[in-house]
Amino acid sequence: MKEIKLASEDVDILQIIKSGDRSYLKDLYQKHRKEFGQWAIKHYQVDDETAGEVYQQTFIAFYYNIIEGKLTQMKSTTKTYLFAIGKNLLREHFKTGKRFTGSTDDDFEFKEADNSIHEKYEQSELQETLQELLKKIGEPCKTVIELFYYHHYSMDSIASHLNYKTEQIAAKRKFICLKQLRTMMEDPQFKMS
Amino acid sequence: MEDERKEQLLQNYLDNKLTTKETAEFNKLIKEDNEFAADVQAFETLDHGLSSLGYQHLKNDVKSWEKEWLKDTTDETKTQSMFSFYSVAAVILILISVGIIFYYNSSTDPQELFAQNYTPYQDMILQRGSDDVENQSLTEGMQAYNMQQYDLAANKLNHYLSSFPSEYGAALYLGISQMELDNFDSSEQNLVLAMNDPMFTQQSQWYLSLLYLKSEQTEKAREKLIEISLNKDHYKSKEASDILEKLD
Repeated sequence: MKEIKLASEDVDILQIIKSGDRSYLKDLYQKHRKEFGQWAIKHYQVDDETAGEVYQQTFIAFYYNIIEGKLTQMKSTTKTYLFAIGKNLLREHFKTGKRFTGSTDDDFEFKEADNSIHEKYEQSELQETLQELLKKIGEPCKTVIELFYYHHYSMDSIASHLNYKTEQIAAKRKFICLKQLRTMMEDPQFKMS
Repeated sequence: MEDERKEQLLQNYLDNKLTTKETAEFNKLIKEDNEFAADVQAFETLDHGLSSLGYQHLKNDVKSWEKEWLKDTTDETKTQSMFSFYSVAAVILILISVGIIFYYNSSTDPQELFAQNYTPYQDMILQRGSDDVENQSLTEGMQAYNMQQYDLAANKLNHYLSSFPSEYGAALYLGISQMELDNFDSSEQNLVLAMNDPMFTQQSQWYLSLLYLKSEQTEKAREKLIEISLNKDHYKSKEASDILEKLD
């Protein structure tokens, strides 16, 4: 996937999102929600519920494109980028051949608007097991893993958050925690309980 | 190769921080060391599983934001609906109020005021069993009055009063009957006459004021109404005051 550049005025948005600020993310979600719904209903004749579901997927894809480094610089507005992802998702939605009768006469052609994140992470047999193990792993591993995998903090941010001297120490800690999790997964005692 | 070095390569691989040289070393190791390859696969699975958990975590957050947004939107819509409802209600209320004010203001027309306030006075002669009820003209006159046959009533009562001019009570009903027939002058004379009967003085005053309204003698009506309204013991004092307000 080639790197996507967004408009410079939104550079701060990328930085804030990368910092793991969920309240900002929530505000951003709600900021464009209404307009997205109206747009999806108008152009794709979806109902309110479908528009809401598509917007949720759109927003998650947008977020992952930022934190996975596919989106590093804004060359259009956040709204345009969101709507471009949404458009791709809506097209996929209608590939199953149900109700697509909508016009595509809008400004949201954006081939790079990647929405593959859902296929990548939607299904994982390990999710349930890992969720249980995380309840038992103890600190600091629980926090390190949650900061890294849930909030996508950088190693530098984790080091700062947990008062480690360097990001290398944080990275080492994370690896130790993964090893601990792997051990727990193979331990019948943890498997049974 | 030492285990510590293998771990460092694995850690850098998972953090996507392998240098070009380390990448070559890593790939070579995977091909030659089955145990290392198995470790890499196990950690990749673990890393993917945790990433999926992170994805699910965000998905749940986003779902809760959606619910919150829907609730806020619904509340907002409800508030707007309530606001619209109250706005419409307020507008209707204002329109009704304006209508009422306009209606009453437009009722300053004396004839309208007459229509709003006039009802024929009840028959007190036949009901009270007056000594005079044996008089045929009076009886027929009052019967006609009660049946709203005012022409006949006026005729009969007029005939009665010509024989008994001091029977002022009958003059009240004759005056009212004549008012019904728009015989204003005759009505006025008889109502004035009826005022001589203490029993019918207030009634006569009241019907005189109504007669003046109906005949559009506004100033006379006003004078009579003021007279009635100033008498707090008058049985139509309040009504007279109300009419005066509207008449002004």
